[in-house]
Amino acid sequence: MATVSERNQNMKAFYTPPINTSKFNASQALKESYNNGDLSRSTTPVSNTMSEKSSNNSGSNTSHDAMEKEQATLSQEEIDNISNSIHELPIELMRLVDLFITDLKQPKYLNPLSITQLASLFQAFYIKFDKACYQYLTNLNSSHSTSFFSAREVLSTGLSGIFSRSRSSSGTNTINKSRNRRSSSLLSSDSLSSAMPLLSPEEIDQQLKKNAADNVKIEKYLQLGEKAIFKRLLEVGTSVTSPVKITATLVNSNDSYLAAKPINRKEIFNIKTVFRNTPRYIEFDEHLRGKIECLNKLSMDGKIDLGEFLGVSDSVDLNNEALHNSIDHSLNEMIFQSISPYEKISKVLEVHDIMTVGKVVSNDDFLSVLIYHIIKLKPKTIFLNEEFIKLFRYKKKLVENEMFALTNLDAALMFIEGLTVNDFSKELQEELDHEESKLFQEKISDVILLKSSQVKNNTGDTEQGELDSVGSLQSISNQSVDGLKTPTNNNNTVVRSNSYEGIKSVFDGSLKNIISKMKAYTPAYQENGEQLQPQPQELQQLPLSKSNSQLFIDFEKQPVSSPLKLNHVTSNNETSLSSFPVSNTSIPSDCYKYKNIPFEDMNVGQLREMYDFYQKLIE
Amino acid sequence: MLQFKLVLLGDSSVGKSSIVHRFVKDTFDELRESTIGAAFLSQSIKIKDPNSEEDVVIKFEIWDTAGQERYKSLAPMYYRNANAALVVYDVTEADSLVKAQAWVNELKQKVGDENLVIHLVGNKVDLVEEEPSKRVITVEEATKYAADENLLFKEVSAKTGLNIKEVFQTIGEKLYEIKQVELAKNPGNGNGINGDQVNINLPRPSTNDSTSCCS
Repeated sequence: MATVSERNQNMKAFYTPPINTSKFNASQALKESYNNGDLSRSTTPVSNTMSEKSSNNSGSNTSHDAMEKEQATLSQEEIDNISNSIHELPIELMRLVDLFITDLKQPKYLNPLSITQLASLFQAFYIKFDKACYQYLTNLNSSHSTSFFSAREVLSTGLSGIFSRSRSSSGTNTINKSRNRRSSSLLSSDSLSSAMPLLSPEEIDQQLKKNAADNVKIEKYLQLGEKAIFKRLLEVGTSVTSPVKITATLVNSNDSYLAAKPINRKEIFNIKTVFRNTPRYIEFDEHLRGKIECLNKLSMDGKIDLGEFLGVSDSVDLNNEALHNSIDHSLNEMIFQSISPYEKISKVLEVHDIMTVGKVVSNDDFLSVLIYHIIKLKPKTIFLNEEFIKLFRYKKKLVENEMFALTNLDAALMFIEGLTVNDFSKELQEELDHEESKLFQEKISDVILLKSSQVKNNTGDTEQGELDSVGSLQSISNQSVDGLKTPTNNNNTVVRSNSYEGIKSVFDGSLKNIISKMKAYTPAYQENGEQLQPQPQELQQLPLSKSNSQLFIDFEKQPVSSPLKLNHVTSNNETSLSSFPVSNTSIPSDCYKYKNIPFEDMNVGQLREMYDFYQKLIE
Repeated sequence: MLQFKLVLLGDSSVGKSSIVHRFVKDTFDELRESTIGAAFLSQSIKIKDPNSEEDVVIKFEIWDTAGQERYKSLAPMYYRNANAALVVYDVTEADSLVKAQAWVNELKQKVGDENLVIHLVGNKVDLVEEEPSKRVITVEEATKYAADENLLFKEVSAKTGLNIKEVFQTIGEKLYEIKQVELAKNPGNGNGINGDQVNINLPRPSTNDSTSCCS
C-alpha cells in the first residue's frame, strides 16, 4: 500500500551531501541515515501506528477516523482553545464562499434547480472548501519553510523548476516547520549547514499535534464556511433563498418563547425558501404538520393516551416539565435561530443529550419519547429542517452520532407520517370526525413521492444517484481547487505547464464579454409570483475578478455532462421529470426554448446544446 | 483502525441495550473511548491479526433500534449500511426467538449483503442459572437454527457479563476476516470507497515523486 512504502521511504531518507562541502563523508552519512532509521523505527511507535492506521483504514470514514485518533493527542481543552480562537473565516476562504454564491447566482441553468441538484452543488462545494482549508493551513504553516506544495509547485514549472529545485526538498517535507528552508540554489552557502537529520520522536510528536490542531481548525473553518454561505445567501438573496419576511404565522406558536428571549429576527432563516423549487417537500411538511396537530389535539382532548399508543415504558416520566421545556428550547433554536446545517444538527444533538443525560436510555424508550415530544411541541417546519440537514450538511461530517441523531429524528417523523386510521384503536377510529379521519386516510409518503422517502423504503438506489451526481461534480470541483489554489500562491508567477492556467486565460479573454453581460442579466423565472431580482449592488461587492470567471469555467468546462448528470439525479424520480425536461432527447419541444434569449445572454452550455440540436436536425 | 457499523435488533424487552452497555462498561477501562448513557455508542476492541499476530483496533459504531412492533417499519433506516447485526432474543421468552428469526429473515431479504455478519444472541441466561425451569428456549434449538441459517451464536448474560465481550470479539474477528478477503479481491479499494476520500491527515510528501532524485 502506498502509505507503507511511503513510510519505508521516509525511514530510509538519507543525509543529502551538500555539493560544495569538501569535508562531507559520504559513508558516514549513509551510516547515520541507517542508524537514524533504525532509531526512529524503534522509538517512534506513534509513527508506526499512524501509518498502520491509514494503511488499514477503509470505508468512507478514513480521514475521520484518522482525525479522531489524532485528536487524542490533543486534550479537550486544547481543542476548545483552538476552536474558540477562530471566530471568522480567513479572507482567502471567505472568498471561496463568495465565489460559490456568485456562481450560484449565475443564470446558467436551464430550469430552477431542484433541491437535490442544489444540494449536490453544495456538497461539491464543501469538498472543495475542505481541501481549500487544508491547503490554506499548509500554505500558512509553510510560508517560511519548505512545503510539499510549494516544492511541487516549483518542480512542476519545467526548466526553471529543475534549476531552482532543492535536491532534498522531497525529504524535508512539512514535518518540521522550524527547520530552515533549503536553499533553492545548488551553490548557495546555506546548504553548508543543511545536512538534514531525521526527525526525532519529539519532532514527530510535535508534528502530529500540529496536524491534530490543523484538523480542529479545518473542522471549525468548515462550520464557519457552512454558516457563511447561508448567511450570505440570506443577505444577497438569490433564486435559492430570499430574505425572510416575518409573518404572523411564523411567530405565532412561539410567542412565549420569543417574548422570553428576544431574538434578532434578521437571523431567522425561512427554510421554505430553500425548498420552493421543489414544492413537494413543502406540501409534505404541511401534511405532516396536519397529522402532528391532529394527534396533539386528540391527546389534549383525552381521546388518545400518547404514552400507551407510542409504547413508552412505564419507567419514563413523560410529565417532566423541565425536560419538556429544554427540548422545546432546543428545537426552537434549531428552527428559528440556526442558519447553517451544522448549527441545526448541533441542536438535534443537544436534544439527544438532554434526553439521555445521566441515565442509560435504550432506543425503545428514546424513539417513543422523541415522538411524544414532537407531537406535544408540534414544532414548525420540523420536516423541512430535518431534510435540510440531510441535504446540506457536509456528508463527510454527517457521520456517527450526527447521523444517528438525524436518523432518530427522521424515524420519528416517518412514524407520524406513516400513521393511518388503521393504527388507531377501534374506539378511537369511531371517535374521529370526518376531517381527522381524512387526514389519516393514508401515509403521506404514498401520496407525495419524495426522493428521500423512496430511499427509506428501498435501500438507497435513489441516493446512489444523488451520490453519483456529487461524484460527477466532484471531478469539476477538483479542477476548481486546482484553479483556486492560485490566489493563495501569489508569489508563483510562472505559468504552470501542467495546469490549465493557459486554457483558462484564453477562456477568460473570450468569455469575459459574455460573463460581464450575464452579470447584468435578470433571470426571467417567476417563482410563486415573485420576480427574482439579482442584486447588482451586492454583486458588485463580491470579487468578480478573473478568478470568478475561473470558477465559472470550472463548472462550465463540461457543458454537456453537467446538465446531463443533473438530469440523471431526477431521472429516478418520476414526479420530478415533468418539472425538469430531459433536454437532449426531446428536440421538438426543447428547441424553442432559446427562442426569446438574445445570443449575448447565452452561456457556453446553452450554446453547446444548440449545437447538439443542430447536429440532430441535420441527421 | 477499522470502523464498523453494528445494529442491534430484537424485541423490546430482550435486553439489547443492556448487552451494549455491559460491553461498553467492561471495555471501558481498557480503551477509554466511550460515552455511557448516550443512545449512540461507539466502542473499540483489539483483535489479533491471525497472520501477523499484530494487534488491530476495531471500532464499533453501535446503533440501537426501537424493538416495539409498531416501529418495525422504521428499522431499515437504522440497519442501512450496517456491517454487522446483533439479533437478540430472551431465553425465557418463547416468542422472542420467533421475532429474532423474523429479523434474521428481513435482514437476509432486504440487505442482501453476503458480508453482513449476523450474530444471534440469547440473553438472560443468569435467570436460567438461578432457576432452570425458566428456560423456554434450549441451547440446542437455537444452535441448530443458527447453524441452518449460517449465523454466529452464543448465549449471554448482560447482567453478569457472561460471554458479552466474546460476542463482540467474534464479530470483530469475522469482520476483519471479511475485510481482508475484500482487500485481497480489490486491492485498489483499500483506502476508501469514494474517490473523494483523501487522507489529509498525513501531509507527508511522497518520496516516490517521479521528479525526485533522492527516492
